[in-house]
Amino acid sequence: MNRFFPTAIALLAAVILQAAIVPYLAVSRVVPNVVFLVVVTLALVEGPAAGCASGFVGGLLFDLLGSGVVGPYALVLTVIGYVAGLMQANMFAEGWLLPVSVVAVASLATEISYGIILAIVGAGQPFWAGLLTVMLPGALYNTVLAVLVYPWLARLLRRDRTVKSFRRLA
Amino acid sequence: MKRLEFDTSPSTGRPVLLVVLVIASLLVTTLWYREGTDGPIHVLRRGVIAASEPFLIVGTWVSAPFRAVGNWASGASTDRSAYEALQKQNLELKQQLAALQEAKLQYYRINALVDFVKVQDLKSVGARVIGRPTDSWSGTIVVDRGTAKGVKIGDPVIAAGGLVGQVIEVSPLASKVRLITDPNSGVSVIVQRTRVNGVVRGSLDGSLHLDFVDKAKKPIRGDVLVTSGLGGVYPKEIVVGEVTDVSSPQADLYPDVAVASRVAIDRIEEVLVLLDQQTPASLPGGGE
Repeated sequence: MNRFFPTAIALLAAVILQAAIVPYLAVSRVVPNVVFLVVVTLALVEGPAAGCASGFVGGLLFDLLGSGVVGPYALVLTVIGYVAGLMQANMFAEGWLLPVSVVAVASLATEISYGIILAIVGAGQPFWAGLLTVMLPGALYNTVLAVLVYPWLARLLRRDRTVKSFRRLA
Repeated sequence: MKRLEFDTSPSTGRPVLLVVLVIASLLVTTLWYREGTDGPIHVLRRGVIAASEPFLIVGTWVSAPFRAVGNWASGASTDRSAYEALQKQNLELKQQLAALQEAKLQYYRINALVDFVKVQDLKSVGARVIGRPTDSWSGTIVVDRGTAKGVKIGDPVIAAGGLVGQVIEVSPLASKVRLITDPNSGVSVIVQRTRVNGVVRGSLDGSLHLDFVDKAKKPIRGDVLVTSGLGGVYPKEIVVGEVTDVSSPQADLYPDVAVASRVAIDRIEEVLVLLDQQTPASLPGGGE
C-alpha cells in the first residue's frame, strides 16, 4: 500500500508531462512517450502485477489525452507492462544495459501492436508507412530517452534497491 | 565482467489481473464505439481536456523561450538563394493580390446585381494554441477557447494562411482541434483554376495529398485548392493549400497530387475559430 502513492504520483506526473511539455520535444513529428517509460520502469522495479495495473491506468489516460479511439493503448500497455514485469527478477544485476534493452524491445513492440490494433478497429494507417514514420522512429526516441532517464527514474521509484548509473558502469 | 544469469524461479506474475485488465481495455474500446458523444468515456475525455488546460498553459509558457530559439535557428539557415526566391515570390504574390482584389470587386458588383449569392458573414473568435499533439499517430492541437465562448464541435478553424482544421472536442474553456494534416482528416476541396472537386487528406508524416481527382483533369503545380463547401462543414472558398507536385502512375486510378498548406501548421500559435457554422450530424474521419 505504501508504494501506491509514489506509483500514482509518477503516473500522474508522466501524463501531465506528456500533455504539456513532451509535445515540444517532438522531432519530425515523432513524439516520445514518457507514460510508456514510467510504466515499463514501474514494471521492471515492481513486477508484473504493478506493471499491468500501471499500464492499464497509464494507457487509459494516454488514450484520453489523444483524439482517437479510447482503449487500444490501455490494452497494449497492460500487456507490455505485464511482460516487462516478468523481467523484474533479472534487473539490476548487470547495470543499465539490460533494462534499456528491455525498454527498446518493449517500445518497438508497443508501437507495432498499437498500429495493428488501430488497423483492426479501422482507425489505422498503411502498416509500412506507419512503421517508417512512427513506429521505428518512436521506438528509437523512447530508447534514447530511456538511456538518459532510466537510472534516475528507477532509483526514484524504488529506493530500496541499487540502480547502477552510467558512471558506475564505466 | 560478470556473467549474466537470468532468474529461473517461477514467475510472480498474476495472469488473472492481466486477463481482467485486458478484458477491461476491450470493454472500454467497445463502449467508446457504442456510446454517443455524451457517453461516459466521451465525457471523461472532455474532463481530461478541461483538467489539463492549466498544465497546457504552463507548458506553453515554459517552452516559449525554447521555441523562439528553435524558430530563430530554423530561420538562420535561410541562404541567399532562398531569400531571393522569396523576394521574387513576394512580388508575384503582390501582383496576384492586386488582380484578385480587382476580380473580387467585380464579383461583388455582379453579385449585387443578380443577387445570386449572399456574402457570408462569418463570426469568429480568436484563440491561442496551448497544446500540441501528444502522440505521433494523430495531429490535434488544443486551443484556449471552449463552449464559454460559443465554440462547438464541428466548428472550422483557420489561420492567416488558410484552413487549419476542425473542432472535435470541447470543454468550457478549451477545445481540441483536428488538424488538416491528421491522418484521419479529409477536406472536400475544389481546384480554384479548374473547379474540379477532390479531397485533401492528411498523413502520418504531416504531408497533404489531393485524392479522387480525375486523371484527365489533374491539377498543375501551383494550383490553389479551396474548400468546396460540400457537406456544410467548412464555408466555401477557404484556402486549403497549393499543389506542389503531380505525378500520374499508369497503374493508379487517380493522380498522386502533393499539396502544401500555406499555414505553418507545426508551429502555429494563434487561430480563428469560425462560430455558428452548420454542425454536421456526425464527423466521419473528422472531416467533410
